[in-house]
Amino acid sequence: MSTATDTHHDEHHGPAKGMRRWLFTTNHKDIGTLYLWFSLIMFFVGGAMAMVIRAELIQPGMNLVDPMFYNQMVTMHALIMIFGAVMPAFVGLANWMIPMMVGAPDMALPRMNNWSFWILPIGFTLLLMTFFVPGGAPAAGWTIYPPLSLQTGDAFPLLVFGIHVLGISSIMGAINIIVTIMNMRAPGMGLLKMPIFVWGWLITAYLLIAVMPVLAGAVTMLLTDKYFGTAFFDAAGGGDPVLFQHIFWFFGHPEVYIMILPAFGIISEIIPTFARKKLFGYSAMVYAIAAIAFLSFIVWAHHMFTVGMPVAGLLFFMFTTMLIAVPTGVKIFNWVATMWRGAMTFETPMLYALAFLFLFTIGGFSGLMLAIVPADFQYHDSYFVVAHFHYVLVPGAVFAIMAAVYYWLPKWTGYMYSEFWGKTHFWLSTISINVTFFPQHFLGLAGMPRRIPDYAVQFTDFNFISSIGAFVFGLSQLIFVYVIIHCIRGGVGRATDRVWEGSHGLEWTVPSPAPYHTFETAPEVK
Amino acid sequence: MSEQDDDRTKQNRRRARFWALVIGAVAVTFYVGIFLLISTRY
Repeated sequence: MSTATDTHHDEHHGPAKGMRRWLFTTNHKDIGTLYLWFSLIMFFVGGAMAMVIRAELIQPGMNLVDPMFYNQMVTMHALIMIFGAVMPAFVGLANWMIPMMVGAPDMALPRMNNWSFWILPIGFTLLLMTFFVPGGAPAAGWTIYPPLSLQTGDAFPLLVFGIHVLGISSIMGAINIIVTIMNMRAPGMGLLKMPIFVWGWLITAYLLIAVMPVLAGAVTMLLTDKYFGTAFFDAAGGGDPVLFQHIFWFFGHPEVYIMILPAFGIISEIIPTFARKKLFGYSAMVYAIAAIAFLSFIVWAHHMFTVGMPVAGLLFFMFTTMLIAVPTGVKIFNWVATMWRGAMTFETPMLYALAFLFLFTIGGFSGLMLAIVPADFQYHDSYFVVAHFHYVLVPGAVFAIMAAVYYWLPKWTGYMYSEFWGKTHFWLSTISINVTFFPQHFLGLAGMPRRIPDYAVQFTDFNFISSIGAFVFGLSQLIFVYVIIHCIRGGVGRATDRVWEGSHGLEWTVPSPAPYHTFETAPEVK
Repeated sequence: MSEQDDDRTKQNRRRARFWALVIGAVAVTFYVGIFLLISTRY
């Protein structure tokens, strides 16, 4: 690959000054930065809610908050972490990296890109306003199942409108990513030459287009059920509350993969770099992502095995769910094979990628356990489920985001971060996350239900351990903020253009920090 | 931004705008479709 960063126009079009730069920017790097800061703030807002949850559960009895507020915390923690922290972080990474990785001067639709970001804070303002209206914030869980969710007070229309706004933002972001990848690639960059991160995002974007309108449709039907006399989900009016669960999970399961496929892409970038080998089985990795995306549309009812489905339905969804283990296994195998006999070093991004490999796999295995219908009848709505999805989302998605930040931070800022503090952050996070969530498997198997602020005394010890782990994890994230700010302000020295000895790809051919405009003249990819 | 794009990029963006409209229309169809699909059930 040749380097072709034409800086001819740079002197005319640097960033604007002050707030105008951030409000009106159409630059993919600025918008990526906005997304990433926004998601970090939301990570702490949602994290504060997690701290309230774990403080309440540190011992049995009603300790800190009233049950209604506890339910609001559980619901809002999930909504904020999913739609405010994880998804915007991946979109931020996409904005920063995809144009540079495919050799494009910017995203294909830069003005829409600006809108995609700026309606996001509006959506979250609507969501957070719900704490201050009569009846308080939504408290029926992020799945907003009727009829319970229809008992929400004045927060309900704000919630529905907020979800619409977030959905529009996601769809616009997804459209932009698809058309950028399909139309803006440098000459010579065929589809099967693209970095895997770009592939992961391309497929994720298609998932978003397919399912976000379904969620929007579902919540609109809830709205009309509550305020306009329809009975889509009201059994008394001839509707069916279970229908909502089907529609919700038709969105919800692909949503799970929306939060993990870009993570797979990140891990596929990082492991080859630090193993100093090419990714093993590139095309198998691409097909595995595509297979997982396809399967995500035909497994949704495994979230609702206990509603009373026909046995044929239970079997279908059980087997399709288990099929997901095949392409996922291909990916895990290929990552391990990439490292096999590699000249590995263990800088912070690699440590996070390795932790992802081990801990995401634990989450995958507990997912397989949950896929077994008769076993799920026991595990359903227990803390086992909470342990499972936190293993795939925290040491899975969140660790991948952290790995990506450490990996690309020198390219973004032009400085190296402190390895000492990066590794301290890694070890504290990895140990504490296991202390938090591993005992929750035992709690679930012993019968502790989820979304309950109090519990029987036999669950005391594991809950205490889990809460201590959560507090340590929460505090450890302050180190993450310190590392980022320290790096932006000069870090431990200048970063080279290539940053990592084993790095490959167009993004490493541009200077560090990446200039405001890159690849205004397309590079030739050989 | 767009005023400094070379011809190739301009053409790419034109093509991208067309496909963005097509994909946007698909998304809106899904949104309306879910209502129609369920409304006809009752």
